[in-house]
Amino acid sequence: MTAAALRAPTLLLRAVAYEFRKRIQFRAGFFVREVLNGTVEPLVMLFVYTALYGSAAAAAGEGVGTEPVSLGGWTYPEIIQYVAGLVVVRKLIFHSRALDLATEIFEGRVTKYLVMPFRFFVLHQGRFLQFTLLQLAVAALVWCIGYAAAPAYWLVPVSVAATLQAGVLVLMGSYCCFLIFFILNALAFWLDVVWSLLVMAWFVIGFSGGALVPVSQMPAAFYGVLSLGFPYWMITAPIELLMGRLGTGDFLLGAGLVAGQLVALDLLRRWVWRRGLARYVGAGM
Amino acid sequence: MSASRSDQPGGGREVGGSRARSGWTLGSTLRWGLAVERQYVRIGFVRKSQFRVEFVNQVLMDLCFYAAFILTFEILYGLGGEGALTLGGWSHEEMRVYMGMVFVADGLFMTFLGQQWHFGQDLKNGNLDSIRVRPGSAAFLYFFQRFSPEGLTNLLFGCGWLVFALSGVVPEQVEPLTLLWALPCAAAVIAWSQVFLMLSYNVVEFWLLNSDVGHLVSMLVTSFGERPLEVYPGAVGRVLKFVLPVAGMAWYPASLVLGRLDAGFALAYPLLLVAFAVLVTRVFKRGLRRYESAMG
Repeated sequence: MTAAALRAPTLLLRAVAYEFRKRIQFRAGFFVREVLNGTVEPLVMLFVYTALYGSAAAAAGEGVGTEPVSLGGWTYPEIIQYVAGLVVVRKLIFHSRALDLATEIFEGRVTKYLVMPFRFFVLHQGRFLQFTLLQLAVAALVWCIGYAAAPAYWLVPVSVAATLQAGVLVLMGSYCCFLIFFILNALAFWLDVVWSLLVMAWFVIGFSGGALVPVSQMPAAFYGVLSLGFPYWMITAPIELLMGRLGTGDFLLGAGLVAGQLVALDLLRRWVWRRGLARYVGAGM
Repeated sequence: MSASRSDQPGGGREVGGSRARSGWTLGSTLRWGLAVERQYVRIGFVRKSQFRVEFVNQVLMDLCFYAAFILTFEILYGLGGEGALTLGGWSHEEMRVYMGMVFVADGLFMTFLGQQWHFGQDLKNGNLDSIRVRPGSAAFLYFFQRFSPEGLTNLLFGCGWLVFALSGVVPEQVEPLTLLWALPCAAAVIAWSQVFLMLSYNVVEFWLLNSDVGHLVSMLVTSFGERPLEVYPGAVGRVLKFVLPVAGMAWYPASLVLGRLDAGFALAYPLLLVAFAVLVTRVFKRGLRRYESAMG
């Protein structure tokens, strides 16, 4: 029992090292996939918001000495900070293409793991950990570059506590994404193609989390529903924590909500995996 | 590198005249292309008849994308109250037409050009041997091979949204008769632009193997083109119009239909698209010479 308990962490570390080696194999690909990934949408969003607030300011006759225009409770400087935060937060969210479990299942390669003395899931947790460690470094780098380039506009956290709280929420949300993508990949036991489900899941998660419009800027009905889901607490809420728009009470509420959903997703993951394995007939190695 | 005459469209038949003898007549090339495409369409339907759940999933996937896109702009325009905000001079009703053009462009892309997502990997794995045949176009054979019935279904949804959006501007802003010539022209420009833009961001893979640069540029180009070009700073907007003519994807077609273009620009811009296509095709052919594999 003790040996088995020690084996899993050792294997986890080996899996992390292996995943790092794979990622830096093609350097141009590494730069594009790991560094530039998730920067396009916020950039486009920034241009759209600039045009939108420009239109609103022109309509309101905004000039020197007047209050900045607020749309849905957000001023233009706040929106810029939101977009800056979005660039950094998106780096930390587990990517829908980061798992290749479905291919392993399709090609019958899961068989070899089933006879080994460890849980197959540990290998995937290793990939999640590798992704998170790498992206933490990339996110820190991106934040530093952004701050150096535009210190007046860039998002500077209001406190260390807010940074830690935001980090916890983002990582919990990212783990929820990891579990969802694992579950969708595991549907390959039943389906022939699952990539469309992964893309669809990201559309839903991205929109309901605030990757296109901050959830708190949406109409009240949308906000009421979406603020219950982990995507909101993974994208919009952490940025609002960093900006000081939300406080510790909100963090505790969010952490509780996300923890509940995380446990539910993990139970679902175990159930789907067991049911899938029961019908697995792969013969490949 | 040149093919023998007997290999080319026309089958080397002696029909008189130097152009006809060379075999490269526009008619025979088009007939050849249509015959190949017909087979791709047939194979696409056969494949999807085997993956019916996948068919539904992909239709739903694109509908999710459309829904997120529509909701985003409905929310943004709703922030200032009805009619209060514009986006780079595009009113809410005009933006709906713009979104319709985006959906049509996306539908065309998904229907005919889905294979482009695999180009980097296929290049790396040396899987292009089978499409390097004479007299056919390697680019046509490769990129059009994955006809998607689900993409076609979504194209119909996109057309439906476009009709709905046009009902908001006809007849107040756009004469019904204008649509008779503007819509076919817009569709042709969208199709042309999608094909050659796709080709342009995939050629990078010849020089940066398996780098995902093609995907990144594709995402960048598509994301920028999905918003009116007036929202971007002047230099960015000019690049998107004249250097990498993303404008042909939705901006030009929507502007044409809505009567936002002056006649000179409307007539000249398609010439730029043709020049871009010639350039990209040449670069692609040059890049293809770098391709190596151990399978052929």
